[in-house]
Amino acid sequence: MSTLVLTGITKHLGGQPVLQNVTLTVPSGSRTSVVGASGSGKSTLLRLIAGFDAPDAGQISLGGAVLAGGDSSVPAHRRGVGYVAQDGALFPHLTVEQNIRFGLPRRAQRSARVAEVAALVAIGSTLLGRYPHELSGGQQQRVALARALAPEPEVVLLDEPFSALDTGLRASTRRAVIEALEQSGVTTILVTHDQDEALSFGDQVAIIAGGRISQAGPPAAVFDDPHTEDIARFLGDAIFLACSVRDGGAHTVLGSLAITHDHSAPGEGQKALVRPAQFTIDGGSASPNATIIDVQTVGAKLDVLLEVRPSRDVVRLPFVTAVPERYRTGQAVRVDVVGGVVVYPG
Amino acid sequence: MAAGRLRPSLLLVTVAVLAVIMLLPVGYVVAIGFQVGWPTLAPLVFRPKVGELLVNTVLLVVLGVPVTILLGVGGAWLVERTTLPGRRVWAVLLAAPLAVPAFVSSYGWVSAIPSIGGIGGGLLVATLAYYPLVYLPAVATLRRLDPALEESARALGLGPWRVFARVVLPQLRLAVWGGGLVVALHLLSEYGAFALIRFDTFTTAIVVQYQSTFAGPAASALGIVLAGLCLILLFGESATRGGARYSRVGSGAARPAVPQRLGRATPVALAGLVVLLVAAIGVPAASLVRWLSIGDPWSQRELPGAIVQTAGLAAIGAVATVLVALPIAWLTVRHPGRLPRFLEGASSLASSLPAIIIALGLVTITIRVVPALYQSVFTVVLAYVIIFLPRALVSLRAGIAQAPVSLEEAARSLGRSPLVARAQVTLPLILPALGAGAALVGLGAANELTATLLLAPSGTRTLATQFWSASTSVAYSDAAPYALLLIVLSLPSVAILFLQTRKRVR
Repeated sequence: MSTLVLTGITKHLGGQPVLQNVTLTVPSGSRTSVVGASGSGKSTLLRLIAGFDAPDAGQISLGGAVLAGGDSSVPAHRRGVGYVAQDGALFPHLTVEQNIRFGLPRRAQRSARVAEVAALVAIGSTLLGRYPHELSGGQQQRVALARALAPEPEVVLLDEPFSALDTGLRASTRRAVIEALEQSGVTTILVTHDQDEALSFGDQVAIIAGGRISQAGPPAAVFDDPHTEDIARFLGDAIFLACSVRDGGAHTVLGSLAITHDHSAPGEGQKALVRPAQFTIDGGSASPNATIIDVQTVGAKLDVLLEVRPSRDVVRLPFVTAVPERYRTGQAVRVDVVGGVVVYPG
Repeated sequence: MAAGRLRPSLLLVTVAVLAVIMLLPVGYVVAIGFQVGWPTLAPLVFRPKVGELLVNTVLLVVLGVPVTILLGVGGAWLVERTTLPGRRVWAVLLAAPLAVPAFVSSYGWVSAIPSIGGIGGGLLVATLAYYPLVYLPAVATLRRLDPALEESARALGLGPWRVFARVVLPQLRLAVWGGGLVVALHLLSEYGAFALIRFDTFTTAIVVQYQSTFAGPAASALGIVLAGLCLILLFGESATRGGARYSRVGSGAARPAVPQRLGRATPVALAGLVVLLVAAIGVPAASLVRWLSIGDPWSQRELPGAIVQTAGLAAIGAVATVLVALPIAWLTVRHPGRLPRFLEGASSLASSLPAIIIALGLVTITIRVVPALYQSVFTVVLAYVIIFLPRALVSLRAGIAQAPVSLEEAARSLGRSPLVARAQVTLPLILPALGAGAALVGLGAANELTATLLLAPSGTRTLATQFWSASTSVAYSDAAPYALLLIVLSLPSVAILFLQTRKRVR
């Protein structure tokens, strides 16, 4: 078993607190992504787990054995923790094959392990003799992963491994990496600043801000129920409608909406989180409830400004997707919200 | 990791100790001056002979530096910014005199015209040998100067000459000041070239004093005055350089400049270059060919031994210098900060002072404190380390910067201890830089004359000292093979320097 447990990790760098009381459990064989803006402390967290630096307080343990805590710290090379750096950090003086073989024990160096992990990350045998600078960015990242997986570590840490790749390459490299990780069954932590990447990566997502983990859980659960307004905004496009909670419903200008989670205190002044995809606009409705004031087409999406009747409230719906028809200014339409909402203090 | 904190402090102490050792000889000369006291020194400093040396030395700098600047900037402008025919060839030829050590060039002149000497002779030999030190930085600056600035000036109604004076020259100021300073320091520290034509400067006088009184207070007194002159130059240069910013402000790649048409001035420019190069390369080369063809100078018995001993001393000096430079460069690249930068500056300060002062300091220390080390291989190698440290530092800093910490971390996560990670990953990556640094130091040490004369164990015969004993006893033919070998040894470093300045920096 290789469950990774972080308890109360605190770290200061240059007198500034970078990590404060971080607690996180990554179950054996699962994938966790840690997502946060730059400067949130997420890379420092990985460096502490890898053993490149030691926490000021707290404990890191792997499969029950303490890696760091108190005054003791297992040095990086005895941890059995694989690490893939942002730029891959391939050794420029070694070939692809020599890079992958680097971490294998001497007696295993002639084994078939190199070909095995190379196949795992879809690196063909023709590439094995090349030097890192002769590879594309995506190939370099896959070799870096193969190198980290070769010695069969209990945990692999990925530090923004896709951020240096351009958009098209990023998606395909990510798919290849996730597939390889799935097959090897290794416990994995991915650090990223990209919300979509974090939400699509694995079994658990942890949101880190200001050196603290603000929320952690399965990606769908976290996305459906962000515990704070900040987290809701961080995870994707969000529209907040002023509302008041009565009789188990959120009363907004668009009517009473079902509440899935309520993080507000009782009383007036609350707001409801609606994701753009929850809106429907019907231009041919017999019972319109709003008038279009302004509409702008952004590619396949719409940015719509509405005046809602009878309250004359103005609501802006940015990036409503799946547009069945074109709209014009002054048109009377029916706007509805599909599904429930999460309520926050106003 | 706790060890991660500890290691830089250990490194810091090591580098601090190295910096102190580098400054020790020069510090000792100054300390002796203080110890002996002003009443004893004053009569040694204020004598008619010293006044004459001061006049000679100051005249040499005041007249020599402007002439080298004129030759260097003029040459750079001709090859970089005009329609001069054969610019590529001239560009190489103008840098070539750097491959002829000044004392070899002086030998070429004095063996051709034995009556040469005095301030005129000194100026002639020195400016011809040292103008490339202004020429190379001027070429580098002209290459990266944005021609849009000159075009804007033309559009504002300035003629070509006024554009050069008001736009190009001010941009060249840094290069000219830097090159001029290096020339001035060379003029102050040159011994061989001036001694051969019997032109007295502080440096030649210190050697004479040393030989007659054996490191007495008189030599120290002259050494202090000379060190003072050098420090005035060093601080003066850094003060005038100030915070001026001359880099290109705009973005995007600079275009190559449209060359200036020389028109009817072409024959004049060509004639000037021919005269310059005949004097700088032609005369020494002709002398060399002439002396090599007289008798059979290649069959001297001492020649093979001198080659072996030169190679040996240069190799030891190169390895020692790289070993000293490694911790210093490592500290400044991996743990940048004010203190590391200060220590690096302190450790290379002594190398900008004349070799004669470093040699004098080492002689004084060894005689007074550790006589066993007087005229030993250790002492002469230490002198090489002090003199050539910056060459190794420049090379190593660049090399270490290309081996990022993240690679070492990757190796550690793959099961290598920090030490093994460095040996298997960082070392192979900085090996070329180590080699290049060692080569530059070794080539310099193989040509070194002043410190080797004073410090090498008696009986040591290097190419430079053999050349020296032959040419000072007017055995010009015997000196010729050594002169040729010294030129050949200089060629690689000059080629590297030349290629570096030709690189088009963004």
